[in-house]
This record gives sequence, structure tokens and C-alpha cells, in this order.
Amino acid sequence: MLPITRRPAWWLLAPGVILATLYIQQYIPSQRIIAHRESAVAASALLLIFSASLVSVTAAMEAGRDRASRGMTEVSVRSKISIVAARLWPCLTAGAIVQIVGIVLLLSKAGPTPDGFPVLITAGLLAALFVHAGIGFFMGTWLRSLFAVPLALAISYLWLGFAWSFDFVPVRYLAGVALEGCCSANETMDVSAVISLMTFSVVAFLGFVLMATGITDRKLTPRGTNKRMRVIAGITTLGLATSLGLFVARDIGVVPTIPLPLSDAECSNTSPEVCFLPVQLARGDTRQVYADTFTELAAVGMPTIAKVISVSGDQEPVLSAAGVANVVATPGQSRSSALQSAASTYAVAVSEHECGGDASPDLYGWSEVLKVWLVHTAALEVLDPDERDGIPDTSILEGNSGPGEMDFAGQWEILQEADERAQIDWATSAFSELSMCRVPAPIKPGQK
Amino acid sequence: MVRRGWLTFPTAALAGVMGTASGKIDLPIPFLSSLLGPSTMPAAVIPSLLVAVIASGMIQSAEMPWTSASVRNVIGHSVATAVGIVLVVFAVSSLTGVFVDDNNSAWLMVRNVTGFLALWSAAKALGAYRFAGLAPVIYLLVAATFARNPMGDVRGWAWILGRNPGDPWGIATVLLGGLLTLVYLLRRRTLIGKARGLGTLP
Amino acid sequence: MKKIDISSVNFSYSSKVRIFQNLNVKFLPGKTALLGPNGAGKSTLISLMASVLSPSAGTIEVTDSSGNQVNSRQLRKFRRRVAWLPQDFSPVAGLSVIEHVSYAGWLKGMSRAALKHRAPHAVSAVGLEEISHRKATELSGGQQRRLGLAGALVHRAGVVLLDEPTAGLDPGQRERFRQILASLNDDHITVVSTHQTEDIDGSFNHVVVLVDGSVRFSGSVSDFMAAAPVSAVDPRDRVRLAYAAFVEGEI
Repeated sequence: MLPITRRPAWWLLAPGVILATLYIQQYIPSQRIIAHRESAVAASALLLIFSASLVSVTAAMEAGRDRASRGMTEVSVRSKISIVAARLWPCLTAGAIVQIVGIVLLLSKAGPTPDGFPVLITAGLLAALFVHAGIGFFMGTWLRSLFAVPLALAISYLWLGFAWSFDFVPVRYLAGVALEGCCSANETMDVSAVISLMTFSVVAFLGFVLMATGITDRKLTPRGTNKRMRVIAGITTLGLATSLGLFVARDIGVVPTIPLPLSDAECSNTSPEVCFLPVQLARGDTRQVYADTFTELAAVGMPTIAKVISVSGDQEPVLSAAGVANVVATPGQSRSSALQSAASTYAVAVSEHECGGDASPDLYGWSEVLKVWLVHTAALEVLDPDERDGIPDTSILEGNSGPGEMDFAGQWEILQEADERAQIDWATSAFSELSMCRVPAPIKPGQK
Repeated sequence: MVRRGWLTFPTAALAGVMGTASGKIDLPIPFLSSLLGPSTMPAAVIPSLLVAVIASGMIQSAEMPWTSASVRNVIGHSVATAVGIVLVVFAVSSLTGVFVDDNNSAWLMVRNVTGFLALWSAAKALGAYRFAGLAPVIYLLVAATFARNPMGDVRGWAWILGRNPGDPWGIATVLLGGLLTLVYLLRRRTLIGKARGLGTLP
Repeated sequence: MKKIDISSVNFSYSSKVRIFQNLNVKFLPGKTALLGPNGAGKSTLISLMASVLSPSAGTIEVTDSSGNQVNSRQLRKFRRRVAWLPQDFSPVAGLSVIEHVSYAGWLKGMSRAALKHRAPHAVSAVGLEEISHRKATELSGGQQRRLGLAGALVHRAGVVLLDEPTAGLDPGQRERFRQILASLNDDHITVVSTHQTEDIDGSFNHVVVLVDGSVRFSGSVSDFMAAAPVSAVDPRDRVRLAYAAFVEGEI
């Protein structure tokens, strides 16, 4: 019956919450998580650095208190589980509070959202704290506080800090920080990533506790029955935890997400039909802008688009032969950026063609010139004058023009001076040439 | 003074080898890298941290409460041991540097280990007692997490993430640690908290 | 009949250091002084009886007043019946006196409700009620020893094992301890390992003398004192001389 007060976890709770809050304020911009609960909760995976550190340090302190005492725990009739639970619940609670405060702050940054609260991700992140409690408890039982407390913190940090960039990707999901890679508006968390994290964390916790109880008993029993078996069982359990976690995460890529099905999308009554997911529509409906942009660009000779979607990954090409455009639509997108996203589709489609290793390096530069023209042309028809700030944006062309190379910024200037018909002819011909991995002919000055 | 010198000095030597062998490697560290650009820390920071934690613990555990009454200058011996550990790290790193063609890592290791030990010593002087070893780890954690300003630049105080052995912030850290240790030595009691004398009282 | 029965116990810390070989001894209700020189095995015997150490052979059994026997290998049952205060008792950091005693009781399987009444009672029994909210680690050596005793007594075990409880205490603290010992119920088995022979007469009912891992004497205080020469009149002298007789073979 340990008292609720006077526990190290409560002393470190306030610094943990303050650090997590500062981190959110400084490094997690609201546009990353806007209108998307799943993304907001997943972003809180970065806060494990604070919550898990708090858990491991305080667990090491708690274990160190029993370790340094004499005459009490050695003759306990309580089960090891109940003693471990009595020692660790404040650590886990304080860590969970830091994590939950972070989640609440991030959700408030995300604002109103159409998606539900991701209970599984939250549970996964809270489960991740168990392994750190295990690390701290084991270190605190094994070593004097002088070593145990700083080493527990170092191990927790190194595990979180470096597991996330392991080349062998499934390892990343055992630590949990890699969950922050979830999610764009058209993606959802791959459940395997969370299951992997939960499985590893809980089983590894048991492994660490088993090792710790074996070590405690060895200290007190001088010969023969030193519970070596518990240490061996603990190490085996750690191995099992790692194997299980890696097995569950075996098919996950560098980002723990899967695309949301198009069946969840809400389609417009426009032509072309524009189908976006609820999160993409949560901060304003830009489907009309997409429809108008594709209509205007079809009128100047670009391929006609039958349907506009926004799905993630390699599932759909940017522009399919059937006339389906796959655009990047984000919640809160302005009309101007929606137009740019739509108009860029043609240029992105040609720049993504597989042209082989001997293709001209100028292909990319020309696709950028085409993009600037498409955006500018569509903007003149679709946007109001006050919405056209920053259009045309030719900065990328200047970056593409090195000494002795094609002057794409100059080509843009020449294109602008040509008459409307000549511009349209050049754009349709450039699109056609680029689609076949051929470099378009330079624009001739004074072409009318 | 140091307990288990047979463990501490070989650990310092091993850290010297590992730090120099991995001297040119940068490890990615968790940030919102997509927004702030990739963030890294020199791999040599890790062996430096581990040797600092182990050495500081071993030194501090030799400062038993009864040694406060010793006619010898116990803390002075501890400082001398810390300097000895840094020298071992430097010697082994320099030697390893000859084999791996790396002249800079030895100085980087010296900067890291000295800086971490200075932070530990400062925490001890301020009254952190048996938790003084937390100071270098907390510094690394905070530096690695908050080092970048929202523009993506590394802040000066996070010198541990840089590769300049003569970083003025690093030197300032060592000087501050040295100053606080000196005051602690002269006063023979910690600067903050209850008077508990020297040593590792509970 | 209540007793602790140690039968054919072997114990060694390593293959080179053998402590007990075929040890047989019984402890009966009342207060038993466990005497012996340093290294005789007193602390080891108390630790074996507390089930902190396990014998490599033989049995340690506690029999309660109803005749039920519990072997030291039945850890939980056994430990519920035994209270132990080690010589090097060290309190758990971060707890006040009352919290410490409650934690000790909780570790012995007591419920929260029971501890609400028992813990303050145990604290007063050892005279720490006035500092019950002080941090356990801030107490003096003697106070810490009393705290340990309160923790050992809180669950009202039938067997109380105290390993040199007065070692290193000043005369005032020792007297205090003697009073606490006197207040312990004689229906219980209380075993106190000690070097202080001057308190034997009057404070204890039985004596066990252990030398080099063997029992040299086990019996009542009067039988023990009978080993002293009849010329010794002062009871303290008689105890001292009897002890010397068993330990060193000189009178």
C-alpha cells in the first residue's frame, strides 16, 4: 500500500507536460493535421520522447527505492505482479497523462474533423509506454540509482530516437515514433503498425519484469535456487516480443499508412465529376474549382478529364488513359492552390513518365514551363484577380536554368509574348512531345 | 577516486575506439524532418554519453558519505579521475584515428565527454546527488528535440549536435561546470538544497 | 503446540563456506535469545527462518497453536506467520513512518482497511507516534530500527525474528527496545539474536547458543545459567560465564 502522493512520477509530470506542449507549439504546424483526427493523434507519436522518458526514469526511481531498502520486500507475501503494479502505476499514469495532454492539444490544433477518434492508435501509443516502464524497472532493480536512472533514460531515448530510422523498416514500428508518418487526408493508419507496437511493447514489458524479478531473487538467494530461470525466461520473452512485433509489421512500408477506399469519397454533380474524401472537404469544398480548371484546360487542347479523384499511393496514376485525374487535395486548400493542384496534373503526369536513363535532362525543365503556362492560363479564366497572387510562379524555372543549359525562364518570357493561338499550339504540342519522352522544340521569339 | 576502475577506464577506451570508428557517421534523429529538413547528430555522441554516465556513476559511488570527513580532497581526486578518463578517451581516439584516417573525431570525443562530465559535475554541485548523472542525458534529449528553431537552423546551445570541437557554447558549458564544481569544492556543501555534505547520501 | 522446528538443515553460501551441516533445533513460545560469536551463523539462521534464504537440505516448519504445520517452502503461507527485522534494516525511501509501516503490512498481505487501524497501533507500540509523518529515511539509526520493528509487528505474526535489534544503539535506545521486547506477547515465538548477554535474565525465556554452525546449547534460561559456576552470584555474571562456558569452553 504505497501512498498516491510522494511518487517521482508526479514530480516529473509538470516538466513532461511543459516539454510536450512546447514541442507541439514549435514543431507541429496545424496545416499538417488540420481537420484530421487520425493524423493529429498519430503526430503525437513524437511526444513519446517525453512521455516514455518520464515513464522509464520514474520506473527506475521506483524500483531503486525497493532495491535500496532491506527487510521488507524480501519477505513479501504479495505476488511480484502486485508489487510491480503498485510501483509502476503512477509512472504509467503520468506518462499517459503527458501523451493524452499532447493528443488533446493536437486535436484542438486540428479543429473540427469529420473522422472519428482513432481509439486504436491512442491505445497503441499508451501501450508503447509499457516497454519503457519495463526498461526503467529492470534497470532500477539491476543497478544502483546512480547508474540506473540515467541509463534508463538513455536507453529509452536511444530506442525511440534511433529505431525510427532503421533501414530494416519493421523495426521502426516496434518503437512507435514512426507512427507519426500517418496520415494524409486520403490515407488511414495501417492497423498492423499499431498491433506490432502494442504486441512488442506489452510482451517486452513482461520480459523486462521477469528479468527484474529474477535479478531481485538472485540478490537475496545466495546459492542454487537463484531464479536464473526467470532471467532466461525474461530474455526469451524479449526475443519473442521482438519476433512477434516484426512478424506483424513485416509488410508495412516506410510510411505506416494505407489508402482510403474511393468508395468513401463524396462526388460532385459537376463535369468532370470530382470525388473527394470527407476530410478533404472539411475546410471548404473546392470541387467546383477542380471541375472548372479541367474544363478550361480541355478547351485549350489538353486531354479531357472525365473524373477527378484524390487517392494516395501508387493505386492510381496521376492521369489515366480513361481520363481520370488523381490530384492532391488537402483540407483547407485555397481556391488558388486547388487550381494549381488541378492544372499541374498534366505536367506532373508527363514528368512521371518512365523515359529511361538516356532521356534528356531538359524534359523536367520543359514540363515545368508547361506547368506554369497551364496554371496561368487556367487562373485567368477561373480565379478572380485578387486570387491570382503569386501566379505565375516562375521561381522553379529560374532554378532549372544553369549556365550553358536551356534558359527555361527565358523560354517562359518568349512564350508569354506569343499570341494566344501560338501559346495553345505550343502547349498541346509540348504535352504530346513530353508524353513520348521527347524534348519540345524551343519557342521561337516573335512567334505569332 | 573511482570505483571499479578496471571497468571505467576500459569503457573509456572502448568508447574512444567506437566514437572514432563511427566518427564520420551522422545518425538521423526524430524531428518533423519533412518540414524542417533532415536532422542528425554525430554518431560519436552515443559512446561519449555512455562513457560519461558510467564514469560519473563510478566516480560518484566512490564518494561515500564518510569520505566527507577525509583529510584528503575527495572531490579533487574525483576531478582528477574525470580528467584521466578524458585523457584515455583522447589517447585511444587519436590512436584509432590513425587507423581510420580521422583526425577530428578525437577532439570531438574530448569535447563531448568533457561537456557531459561538466554537466554531471554541475548538477552534483547544485545538489542533484544520485540523480546528477541524469543531467547529460537530459541535455542530449532536450538538445536533440529542441535544437532546431522553426526556420530549421540549429540553436547554439545544442552544440552537441554539431561537429565543431571548439564550439564556444561547448567551451562555455565546460567552464560553467568547472566553476560550479570549484564553488562546491570550496564551500564543501551543495549550492542548492539541504546541507548534506559531500558524497552520495540518499 | 506452537513451535519452529528446524530439522537436518544444510546451508552454505558457496562450496567453500559451509554454514550449517545437519542443523537441528526447536524454538518454542516465549522469547529466545540466540547467542553466539560473530560468524557463528546467527543471522543466517534467522534469515533461513524468515524464508529469505532457502536451505539446500532439510526442513523448517512452523506449527501453530492448532497444530497446523507450514513448511518454509510454502512461501506465502509461511511468510504470513513470520515477522523479520534484519540487522541491516534499511527503510524504503520516499515514505513517511506511517506509510512505511502500512507498506510493510501491505507486503504481508494485509488489507487497506485492516492497515488503517493496525499501522497507527504498530507505530505507537514502538513509540514513533509523534514523528509518524516524518520521512523514514530522515530518522536516526535507533528510530529506523524501531520503524523496522513496527513494520515487522504490524501483521501480528506468530513468529518474530529480530536480528541484533540493539546493535549500535545508545543505552537509552537499547532500554527502549528492551521495553518493546518485554511488551511482546509470550504466546508468540520471539527469537532475538544478540551479543548482549546482560539482558538475558529477566528478558528471555529460552537460550540457544550457536557456535560454528552447531547448537551448543538449547534450553531455558535457568538451565543455561546453571552452567555457570556456583560461585557466581550476580545473574549477569552467571549469564556471562555460562556463555563463555558454551562458546569458549572456559569458566
